[in-house]
Amino acid sequence: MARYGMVFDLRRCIGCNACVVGCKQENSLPDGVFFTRTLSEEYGVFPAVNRVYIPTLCNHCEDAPCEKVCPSGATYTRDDGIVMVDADKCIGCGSCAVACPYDQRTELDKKSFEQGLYGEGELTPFEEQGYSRYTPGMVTKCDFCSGRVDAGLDPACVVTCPTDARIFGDLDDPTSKANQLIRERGGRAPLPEKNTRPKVYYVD
Amino acid sequence: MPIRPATDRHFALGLCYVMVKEELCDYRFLRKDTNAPYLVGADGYFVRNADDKIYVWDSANNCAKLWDDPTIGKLALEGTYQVDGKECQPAFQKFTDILEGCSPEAMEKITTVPADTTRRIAREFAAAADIGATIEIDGRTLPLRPAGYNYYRGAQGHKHGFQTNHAFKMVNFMVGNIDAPGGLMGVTLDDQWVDKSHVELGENGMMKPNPHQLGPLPPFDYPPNSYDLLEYFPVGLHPPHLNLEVFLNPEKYGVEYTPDVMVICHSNPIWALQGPREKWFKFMASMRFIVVSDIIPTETTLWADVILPSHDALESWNMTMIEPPHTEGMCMRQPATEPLYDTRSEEDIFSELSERMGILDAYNEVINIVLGFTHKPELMLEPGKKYTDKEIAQRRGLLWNDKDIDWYAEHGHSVTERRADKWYRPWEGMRLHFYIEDMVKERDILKANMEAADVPFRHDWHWDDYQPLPTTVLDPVHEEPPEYDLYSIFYKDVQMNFGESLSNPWIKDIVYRDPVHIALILNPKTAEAQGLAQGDIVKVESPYGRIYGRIGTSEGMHPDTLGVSNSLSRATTRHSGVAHAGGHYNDLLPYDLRNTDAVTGQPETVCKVKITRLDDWPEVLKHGGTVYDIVDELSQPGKGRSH
Amino acid sequence: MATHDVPIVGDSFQVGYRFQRYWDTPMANAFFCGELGAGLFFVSLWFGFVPGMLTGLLITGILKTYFHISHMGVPMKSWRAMLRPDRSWISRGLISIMVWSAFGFAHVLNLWFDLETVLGFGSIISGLIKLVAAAAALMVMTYQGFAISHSTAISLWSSGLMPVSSLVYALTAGTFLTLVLGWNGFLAEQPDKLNLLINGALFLLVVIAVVLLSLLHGAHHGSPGGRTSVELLVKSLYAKWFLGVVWGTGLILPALLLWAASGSYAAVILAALGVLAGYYAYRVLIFKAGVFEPIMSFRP
Repeated sequence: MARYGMVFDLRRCIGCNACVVGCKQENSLPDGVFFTRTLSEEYGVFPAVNRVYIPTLCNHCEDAPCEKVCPSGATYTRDDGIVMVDADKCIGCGSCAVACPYDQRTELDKKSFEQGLYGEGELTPFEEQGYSRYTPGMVTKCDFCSGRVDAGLDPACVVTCPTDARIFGDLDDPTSKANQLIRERGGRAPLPEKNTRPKVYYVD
Repeated sequence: MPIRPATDRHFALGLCYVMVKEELCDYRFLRKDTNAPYLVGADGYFVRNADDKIYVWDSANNCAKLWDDPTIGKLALEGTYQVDGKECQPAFQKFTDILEGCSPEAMEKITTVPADTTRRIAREFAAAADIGATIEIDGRTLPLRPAGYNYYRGAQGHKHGFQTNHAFKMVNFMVGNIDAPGGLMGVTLDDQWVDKSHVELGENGMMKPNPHQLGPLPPFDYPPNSYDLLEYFPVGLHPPHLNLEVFLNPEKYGVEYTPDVMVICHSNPIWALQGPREKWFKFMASMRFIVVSDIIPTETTLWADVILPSHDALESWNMTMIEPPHTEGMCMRQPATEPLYDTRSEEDIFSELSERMGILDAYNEVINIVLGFTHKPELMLEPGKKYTDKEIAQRRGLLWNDKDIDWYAEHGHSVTERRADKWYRPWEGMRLHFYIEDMVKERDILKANMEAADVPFRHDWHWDDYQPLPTTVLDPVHEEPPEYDLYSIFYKDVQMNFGESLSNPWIKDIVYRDPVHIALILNPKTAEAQGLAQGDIVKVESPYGRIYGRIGTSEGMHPDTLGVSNSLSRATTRHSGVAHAGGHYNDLLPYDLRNTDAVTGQPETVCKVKITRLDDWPEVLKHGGTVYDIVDELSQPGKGRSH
Repeated sequence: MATHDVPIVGDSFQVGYRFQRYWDTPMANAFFCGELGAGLFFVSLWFGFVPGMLTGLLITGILKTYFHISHMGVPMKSWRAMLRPDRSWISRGLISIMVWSAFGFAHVLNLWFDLETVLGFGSIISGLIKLVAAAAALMVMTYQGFAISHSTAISLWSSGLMPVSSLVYALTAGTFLTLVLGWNGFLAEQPDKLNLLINGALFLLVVIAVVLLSLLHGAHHGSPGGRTSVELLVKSLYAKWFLGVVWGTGLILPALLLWAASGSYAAVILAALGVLAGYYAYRVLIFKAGVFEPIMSFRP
């Protein structure tokens, strides 16, 4: 069985946020809701200034704290390591959201489903078909585009990235690019001291 | 590398200085592939014989010879000589003379780039170019020059735009990388058919110049037939801002008519043009009838008397190839869905309008010329017939590679790597224009025409803009009154290549979360020196207009500069997704002749500004829904992700 | 890792600390009412003080329920919260509340109507009812602290002292409310019990102070996120409230009042109000000051 994870190549990310938009499109997310974000950090002093772009998303931790604290069992991990949220079971208590050290859980606010993307109270046809997969009020997150993965495709953000800064794959497969990058360029997990054993790595 | 705005040309000339002084140039390229050895007289023209053939100096035999004389020993690039009693120099020497005033130290004063940095970069550039190296591609031996100086709008969008572009080109000329593997590649707009060449041999061994690539140039005339004075720009592109200059000063330009109908297709000039919005609004208000064809509501559709909504990209056919660098071929677009609303394709709209106005034949004729159907007459649009978007797309595909629309529907495109003979040095055997004599020629022709027609504004025309070589003249933006103590630049970023995409809620969602798109940016030390803090509300004024905004700081901003993002440029429209900010950066820019390149019509895109701190927003920005309101929502202290 | 230079960012795409706002004031209200009611019940239980027990049951039963439902994203499915007691403190807590409600009311009814005699089920059953009610109440007083500290995510929260603070605050509030409600009743007749409660209250105030200081100390030295939270509480954004209300109104004022004027009912009422204000402010501020650490930082 595969053990899916992701690698972000910080040398390649240009901060375009196309991944963020691709994800919003694939998942039909309401206004202000993101399953992935690319952050920026500026450091240094003029003229020796730098800006680094850091993609982030759910790390699909092997020791997922969001799963541990979920009182209804809505959050669970598949055999292939993808941490999922069952829209029928989630009660929107937010325990997962305060348990995630990476702040990757998002509440799908009822209001944004009603206001629509243009904030006018009318939903576009795209939104009509997209929102039906969610329960308003639930607290959810990136699921590595599990539907696409099941169909043998990469997640939408990976496919959208113009610089190949996002690499998805089976971390246990030594021939997968993800595995190779981690080994060859010293992939590091974010916030390791939080002991969640994330499956998303960063290479500098 | 940080640089003071509107000084890139001076930096480029500084690089050239180092490469010339330290003899880091590709002399073989300059001698063989350019007109750098051609002798130039004191009047700026090449020295020619009675048959109009150009002279060069043979330094091996110490005499003048015609450029194609097979007995030439060595072409001189330097020196001063006498030919037919006239003093003259090789064009390269003329450039070297200009470069005397371009030492890195002298240029540092203008650019703020340290002299050592300029020297280092010039040396690294020349070393990386590996002058003399070759590579074999498709059986052809080509120079290998893995170094290039590339440049876009911000670097070259200044009053002396032509000279600025020329200066950047010169850096590439120095190392002989023009159209060479690894170097700076020329790009065509649209090849139209596979074997079309944009390269033609001109006179005296030089490549034929190719001005006015966007469309046919109207012949010189006075009074002007074009409201934007196109007749007076024989070399360059279209200067739309001059419409405002002429509108406000009709007597000065002698226009005999006042336009009162405007037809706008799929563009947003009310947002895009430079000059204060209020003056542009007067221009629009003076129109009797405005027709706009577009897909989404914009600042411009607000002014329309009639809007003709057109299909969007998912509802229409199109076949296009535009500015391809490394590839060539047509890309087809076919409808993904039936039209959602009662829109029409732009082809439908304009052929229908043409027919009703009785100009359909002329319309079809223009399409035949512009799209190149004249090259394959069986594809030409016939008089009296209207053609759909699909029919025109089909013809463009057939024109390119003789493949019909069904082939394209299956393959999607006919894009391939550019053919090596078209890509690398397609002008092989011709000489490139190191020295652009046409500048002098066109200047004098235009001057003569204006003189003969007694054009009253010829005395205001900037004849000195026409230069065969780039000079160190300062753009007028550097000479504004001293109270304007900062430079202001405008930028867009990868999330929103076009400001129009800000009406897309997904784009809006990501843009206003990026710190460079939510404030007017100053270097922190500059802010401090100006008595400003992050979050201060300010009025920014140039000699031409003003905007409002809120200050943010970034170490990435040059200390002399205020940065204004494109994200702050939209004006309130009926499109509920668009958030206005405090005025468009373009309101700060000039639209006059003083700040326009007489050669190309390029307007100055940098301005000098002064900043005044305000206690509160002006009334017009207090009604909510601005960019700053959105930003406040997102970034209040204590506001994280809302529940 | 991150340093002091890394900013606190709002909902922007910048690297920085982010405030948690998932558990906000409605949740703080729910937690407050839950612990307050259970604490009042627990303390009243020892003295067989039925009005106190009943008030406690109603505070939790009605107010906590109301505030919890108003916090829930999908309120109609709230019953699902009890499905995973094997791993979730929320589930354990909900089950405990149900057990406590059942056995608590049973105990109250038993005392009020002397059901032991009327229904004749013997003192062992009565004792069992009381024990289960007490244990469940204890669980309700404490479980929310466990829920808060269950994850390492928010450094300010991930301390073993969280459940301790819940328990101690609940006991303290329960003690003060028992004092207030029982002043003219059973406490008027039993001055030794009054003394016990007064001294107990003073002692608990000291314990709270120690627990708070330890919490702050642990967070401050635990991680940059913890340090940021502590700074928010004692130096910057929330200092006024934390120092003024949690410490001033909530601990120092009641302590002084009890020390100097424990004989005055007005003083005791004032002290109780102060304690409640401080306790409520604590509940809210612990949520408000919680931050997520930046994912990484490249600043030197």
